[in-house]
Amino acid sequence: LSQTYEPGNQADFDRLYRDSYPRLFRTVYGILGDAALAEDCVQDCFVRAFRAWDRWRPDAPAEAWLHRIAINLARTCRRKQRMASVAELVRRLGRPEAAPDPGSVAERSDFIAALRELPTAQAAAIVLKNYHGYTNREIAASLGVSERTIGSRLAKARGSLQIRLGPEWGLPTSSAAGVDAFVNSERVGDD
Amino acid sequence: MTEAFRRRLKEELEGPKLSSPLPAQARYRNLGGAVRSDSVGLIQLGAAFLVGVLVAVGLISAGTHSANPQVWRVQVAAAFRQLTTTPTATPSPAESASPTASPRGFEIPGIAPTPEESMPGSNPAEGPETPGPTNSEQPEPAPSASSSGGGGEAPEPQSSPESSWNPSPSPASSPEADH
Repeated sequence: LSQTYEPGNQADFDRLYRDSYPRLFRTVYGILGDAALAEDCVQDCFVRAFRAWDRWRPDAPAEAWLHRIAINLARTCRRKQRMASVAELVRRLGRPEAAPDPGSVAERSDFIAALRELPTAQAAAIVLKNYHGYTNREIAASLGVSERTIGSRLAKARGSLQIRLGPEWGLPTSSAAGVDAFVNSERVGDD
Repeated sequence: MTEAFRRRLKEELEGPKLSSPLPAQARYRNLGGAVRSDSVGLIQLGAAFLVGVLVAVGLISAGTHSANPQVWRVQVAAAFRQLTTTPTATPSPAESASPTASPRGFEIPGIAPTPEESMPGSNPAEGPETPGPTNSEQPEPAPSASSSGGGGEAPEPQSSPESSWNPSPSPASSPEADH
């Protein structure tokens, strides 16, 4: 996060692309659970960032800025996926259900499926915290919310994953920290 | 959150093989090209507009024989006025040709000069001022020629006394008529 870039500089944006693309891809893949869709979403993220590269102010880390854009785009992609699935369901009413794509089935494990079931903000918080190693403050600065909001999102996400994945991953139980922290925290408007 | 969860998360997220990100293959590079082509298109459009303006200025200058925009405006206004007024005066070509051919007709519009009046008139400079001096002055020389015989101003009474005074012949010329 401590890389320095000059706004509007094409070479710096290329360097930012090389440095940030894999990390952004992992984040979006954790949210969407689809590698091709995640790659498409990250490419769109860099397109939007490139359009605003002249106006970017280096008072915040560039990768945090990119993460914010990418997570917003991932949220939009999820909505489109839901709309597409509903449209597909309506389209094949009365017909036998088509077989799922083998590639996507093999790619999507139960762990990724559990992450995908989380709301976008919670899945993003889990990935940024446990994969990228960001602190709650860095996540809050990246997503433009308060640290308390990040704490509540993490707690809620842990509770949901505990339910889906089982206790073998050592996740905190709902009575310990997760659900209580969520209930007492502010309600986060999420999908 | 346990270390096992983090390890599993890392394995799952790094499962898909990701090729090395090359900026040359990135989508935003195509956008940059598109933006560049848009700007080039705008520049070309502006250049075409300037060329069009220059051509129009050249044509107007050549048409009005002047490089003064005020002259252009006057010329254009006159041409426009002419275009708008020509339908009301359609027979103007025939009328406009005759005044140019005989400008004297405009000098005396009330009296149309005939060739007989203008040609035998001894003094063309007095013609316009006294349109009919011969007819009005001819009675004067006849009495003066019989009495004094010295008018000098009009020699015509001697040349044609019969043509002008036939209705009233002199008494010396016809004494036998009474008898």
